[in-house]
Amino acid sequence: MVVVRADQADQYQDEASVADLVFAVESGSAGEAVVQELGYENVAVQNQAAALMEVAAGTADACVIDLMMAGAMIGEGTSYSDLTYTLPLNSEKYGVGFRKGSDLAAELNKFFSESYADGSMLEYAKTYGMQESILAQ
Amino acid sequence: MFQTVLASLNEGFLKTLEIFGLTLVGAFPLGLILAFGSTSPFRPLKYLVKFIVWCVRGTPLMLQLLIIYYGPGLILGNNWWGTSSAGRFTAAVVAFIINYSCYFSEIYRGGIEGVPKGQSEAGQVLGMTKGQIFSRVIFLQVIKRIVPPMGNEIITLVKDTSLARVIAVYEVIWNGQTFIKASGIIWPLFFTGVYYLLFSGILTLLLGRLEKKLDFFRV
Amino acid sequence: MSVLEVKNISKSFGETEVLRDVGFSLEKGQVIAIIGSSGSGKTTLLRCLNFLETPDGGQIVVNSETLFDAGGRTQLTEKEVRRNRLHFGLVFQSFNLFPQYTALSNVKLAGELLARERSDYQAKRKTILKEIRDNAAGLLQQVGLSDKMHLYPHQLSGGQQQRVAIARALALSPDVLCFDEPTSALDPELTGEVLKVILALAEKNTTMVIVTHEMQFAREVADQVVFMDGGLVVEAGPPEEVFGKPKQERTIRFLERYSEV
Repeated sequence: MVVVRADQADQYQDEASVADLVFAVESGSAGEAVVQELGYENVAVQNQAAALMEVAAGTADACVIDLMMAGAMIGEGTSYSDLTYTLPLNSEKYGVGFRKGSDLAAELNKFFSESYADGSMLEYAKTYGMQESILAQ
Repeated sequence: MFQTVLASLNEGFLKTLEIFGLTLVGAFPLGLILAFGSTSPFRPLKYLVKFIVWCVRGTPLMLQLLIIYYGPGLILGNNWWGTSSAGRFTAAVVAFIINYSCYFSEIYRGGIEGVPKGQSEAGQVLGMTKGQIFSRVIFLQVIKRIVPPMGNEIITLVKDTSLARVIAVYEVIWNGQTFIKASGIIWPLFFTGVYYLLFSGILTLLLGRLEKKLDFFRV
Repeated sequence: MSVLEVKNISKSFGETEVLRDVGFSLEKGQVIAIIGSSGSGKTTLLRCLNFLETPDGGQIVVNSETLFDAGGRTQLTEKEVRRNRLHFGLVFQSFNLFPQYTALSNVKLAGELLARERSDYQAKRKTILKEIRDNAAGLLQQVGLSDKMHLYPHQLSGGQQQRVAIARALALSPDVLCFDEPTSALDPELTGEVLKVILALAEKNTTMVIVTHEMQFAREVADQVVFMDGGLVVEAGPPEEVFGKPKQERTIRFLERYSEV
C-alpha cells in the first residue's frame, strides 16, 4: 500500500499521480521490487517502521508498506495519526516458513483448515481489520 | 558473485571512509572550541557547554542520528534535509561531528588541565607571551597526553560510521546486509569485518608511530 | 643605590591575609636570604616580585623605577607585566624545566623568542642566535653541565635539572635572581651540588633573593637575612645577628626548632 500524509491523500489515488514522488521502501521487500519495476524514485530503508518515519518527517514523500502494517501502525491512536494509505501497488500472498522437514508445517496446515472451516479464522481477521484480506475458501 | 559482493562492499566502504574523514575534519576543531568553552571563566558559557556535552555524550549516537535527520520534519514540520541522498549524508556527518566533538572536547580539556601549572609559570617568569607559552611549551605536552585516548576514539569512529545506515546512508554494513534480503546470502555481512579490521589495523600502526615519535621526552 | 626596594607589600587570598606589611631593600651584588615557617608568606612574596601575583598594597621599585604601585594603576597590560617580569628571574622548587626541550634549548628558548622583538632581528638573525647559543652554553658550563647539554630533563637527576633551571633563569640577565626553596624537592645527596652553584653565583656578586630552609647555607651565602612569620618581617639583619643573637622571641623559637634538625 502507498502511504502518504492524510492531508494530501486525495491527490494520490492512482498510479499516475504518485509517479513523481520519492518513495521510502523497506530494503529487499516486495514493495521495493514493485516501486523499482514501476520506475519510481525510491530510497531503501531498514524496515517498514523507518519507511513510515520518513514520510512523517517529510524526508520522503510517500512509502510503500504491507497492508497489515499499514492497518496497525498508522491512523488514529498511533504516532502517525496524520498518515493514511491510498492505493495498493500489488497484491501479495503470505505464507509461514519452517525449517525443512519440520513436522510443525503439517500441524499449522491442519490448524488453518480447521479455523477456516469453523469460522474462527474470520473472527481473528476481524480483530485486526483484515477480514477482506484473508484468502477466500 | 564474489566480484559483485566485493564491488558493492568497496562502494560502501568508500562511503564509510567519507563519513570517517569528514567527521574528523569537523570534530577536531569543534572539539577544541568546546574545550575552551567548558573551561571558560565566563560562567553562563561554561555551563551551557557542559550541558550540551552531557546531552550529547549521554544519549546514543543512533538516537542522535534519528533526531537530527527526522527531527526537523517531525517536530518543526519543516524538513530542511530534503529527500535526496546528499541530504541524508549531510545530516549523518553533522550528527557525527557534533557527537565526536563532545567526546574530543573532554579529552582536550583533560590534556590541557593535566599540564602542570608550573610549566606556564616558568614561561611567564621568562617573559614569554601567553601565545608563546601555549604554542612552545603547552601544546606538545598536551598532544603527547591525548594521543592514546584520541586514538581510542578514532578507532571507535571507524566502526560507529555503520550507524549511519539507520537514516539510509549506504555504508559498508548496509551493503553487506542487502545481500541477505536480495540474494539470500549472509557471508557478505560478515565479510565487512575484514574491511574494518584492515582499516583499524592501519590506524593502529599510524598511532603507534606517532606515540613513538613523541617518546623523546616524558611528561 | 638599591637595585630592589620592596615597600609595604600586602596580599590576601579571599579571607586569608598572607602578606601583611613586608618590605626590604637590596643593594646590587648582595644576597638576601628569607627564612620562616610554611605559611609565613615567603613564597607569595617571591611570586609577587615575579609578577605571578598582584599585591593588594605596597610598591616594588627596581633601579629607582617603580614597577608596581598599589596606589596607582594596578591593572597592568600584558606587555607591561612582561617587561616587569624580565627584571627578575625565578628558580622554582620543582624546577619546571620544559620536558620537550634539551637542557641547552631550555636555556636558549626565552632568549630566542625575545630576540624576535628586536628591530635588527631580521638583519642580524644568525649572529643573534649564535650569541644566544654561546651564552646558553657558557651558562651551562658555569653550572657544571656542559656534557649534558643535549640531554632531556627526564634523563637528568633532580640536582642536574635544578642547575639547568638556574642557567635558564640567568640567560636573560635579570637584575634580581630569585630562588623559591631551590633544594627542598631534592634528595639530600643532591642538594650540595645546587648550593655550590648558588654560592659560586654569590661570589660573582649576583644579586639574589633566596627563600630557603637550609639554615647553614643561608648563614654562608647571605649578606642580609629576613625572618618572616605570619605575613610580617619579624626580624632582619646580617646573618651573624639574626642567627647568632636573635632579638625577637619568635625568631629564637623558630631557630631552636631548626637547630635540632
